[in-house]
Amino acid sequence: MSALVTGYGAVTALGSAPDTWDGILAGRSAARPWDDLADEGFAVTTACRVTHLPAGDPTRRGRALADAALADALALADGALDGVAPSRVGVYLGTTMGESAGYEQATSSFSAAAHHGGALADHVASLVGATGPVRAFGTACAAGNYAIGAAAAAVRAGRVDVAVAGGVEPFSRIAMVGFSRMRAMTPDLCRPFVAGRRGMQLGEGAAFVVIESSARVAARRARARAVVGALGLASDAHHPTSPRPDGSGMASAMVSALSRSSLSPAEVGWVSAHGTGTPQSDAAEAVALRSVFPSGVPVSSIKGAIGHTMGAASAVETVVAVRALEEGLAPPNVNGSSPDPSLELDVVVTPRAADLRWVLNCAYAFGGLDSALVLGRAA
Amino acid sequence: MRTDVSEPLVAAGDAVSAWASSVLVAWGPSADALYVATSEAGAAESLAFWAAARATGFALAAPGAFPYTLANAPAGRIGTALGIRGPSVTVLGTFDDALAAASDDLADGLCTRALVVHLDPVAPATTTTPDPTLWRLVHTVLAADSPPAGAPIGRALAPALDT
Repeated sequence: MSALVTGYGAVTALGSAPDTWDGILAGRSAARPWDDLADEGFAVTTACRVTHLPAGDPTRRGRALADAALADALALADGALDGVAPSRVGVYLGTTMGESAGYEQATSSFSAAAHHGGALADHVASLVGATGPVRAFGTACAAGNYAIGAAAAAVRAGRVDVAVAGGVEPFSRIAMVGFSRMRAMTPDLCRPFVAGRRGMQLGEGAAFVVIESSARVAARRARARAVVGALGLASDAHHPTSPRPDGSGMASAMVSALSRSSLSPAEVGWVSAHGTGTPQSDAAEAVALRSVFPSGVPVSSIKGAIGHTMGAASAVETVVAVRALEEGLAPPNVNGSSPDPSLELDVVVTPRAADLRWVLNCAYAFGGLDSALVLGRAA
Repeated sequence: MRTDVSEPLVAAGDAVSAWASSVLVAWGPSADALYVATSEAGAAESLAFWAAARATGFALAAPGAFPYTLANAPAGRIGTALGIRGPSVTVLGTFDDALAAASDDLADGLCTRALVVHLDPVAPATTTTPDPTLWRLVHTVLAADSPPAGAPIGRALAPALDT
C-alpha cells in the first residue's frame, strides 16, 4: 500500500504555498532588514518573517502559523477526514524551538509544557479531532522530514488511515542570537552553494501535508498529489553543531532512503538540498551528493528565498517538492545563480523543466542528524 | 563554554552512554538507533541562554550554550559518545512515546536495534532564571527486532542525577 499526499499547505515569508512556489520560480527573496531587531541590538537584523498573517500573541505564533498552513492542506485534500474514526487519524509534527517567544517572554508562571513541540502537536490534533498517534519530533532542523516520513510509514503499515504531518517554526529571537553569535549567519543574503557564501538566514513558517493510503484515495476518488517514499535517517556521531566534512552521514541517509524505496540514484530527477548557505554545511552536502550521485543530479535549495525555517524547513521543502513533481519543474536556487565551481554540483539556477518521477528532500541538523525523504509523482 | 544550567543535562547524557556501553560494547552500525524522550530538554537552557543574552546585550551574547537550547542536544551527546551512526530520534513526550516510535521504526526496518531513553528533570523549569537542576533517567531500555520484535532485552532504572 502506498502513502499518498492529497493535500498540502504552507506559510512562509513569501506567503502561502502557491505564493511560495511562484516566488521561488521568480527568484524572489523574502529577506529584509527589520527595525525592531536593530532597535533591540541584534548583531544581524536581516531575516525572512511572515507578514501576511495578523501579529497576534507572540507566544502562540507557532499555533497561528500552523492553523493557516493546516487549513490550506485540509481544504486541498477535500474531505480527507470525512468518515474516518478519530482514533485512525495520526498527527506527526516537527519543530526546533517550539513557541520560542514563550521562553523569551517567560514569567514566574512559566511552564515548558505550554511552549514545547508537544503542545504544538496537541494543538494540531485538537484542530483535526485526532485521537490516534500524536508524535512530536524535537529533531531540530530536520524535524519536518522526520514527521512526514513517520506519518507515511504509519499509513503504509496501516497504523492510521489518515495522517496530518508537517513542521512549525515561529520566528525565534533566541535562534537569532544563537546563530549570529556562532557566526553561522549571513549579514545580508543567504546564498546556498555560492562561492563566498557567508551563512544561513533565519526564517519562520509552517507546512503540512495530508497523507492517505492508496486504498483510501481510490475509494473516495480523491486526487493524489504525490507519493511519499521512504525516509532515510543517519547520524554523524561527530560534533554538537558541525557536520562530518566527508558528508558520510548525509550520504548514508540518502542511500537509506533510496534503497528502502527500491530506487537507484539514476531515478532521482532533482534533489531539494538542505543548502543552508554556510560554508561548512554546503561543502559537506556537496561531498555527500557527489558520492551518492556520481553521474550528477540537479540540485537546488529554497533557503535563499524564505530563509531557514528550521523545524518547518523540510516540511516546506516537501510541499515545494510536491509542487515540483506536479509541474515537472525543478525550482531554482534563489540567490545562487553563480554556484561555487569547487563544489562540482549541477545547481539549478533557473527553473528547469524535467520529467520528474522521483525527488529526494534532504535535511540535516545540529546534533549530527541526517535525513532524506523520497517523494514521487502521483501515478 | 556551557553555562551551568546545561551541565546536569550533559551529565545525564553521559550517564546514559556509560550504561549503554556497559550493556553492549559494539554500538555504531547504521542499523543502530537512538530514541530519546523528553518534555523538558532545552527548556531551562533556553531560559538561561535568553537571560544571559539580555544581560550582556544580544550582540555580545556567549554562544556556547545555544546548542543546548535544542531538545535533541542530549541525543547528540549520547550518540556521539556511543558512535551510533543510525537514526537519532528525539520525541517530545514520554517514555511510552519514544518506545512507540522505536517499535514502529523497528517494525518498518528503519533500524534493527534501538536504545530508548527517557530523560527529564526532577523538577520542570518554572522560573525565568533557572538554577542547575536535577535530571532523572526515567527509563532506559535496549530493544531489538529479533527475537521478538521490539521486546526490551535490557533495562535500567537510574536514580536522579545529583549534580
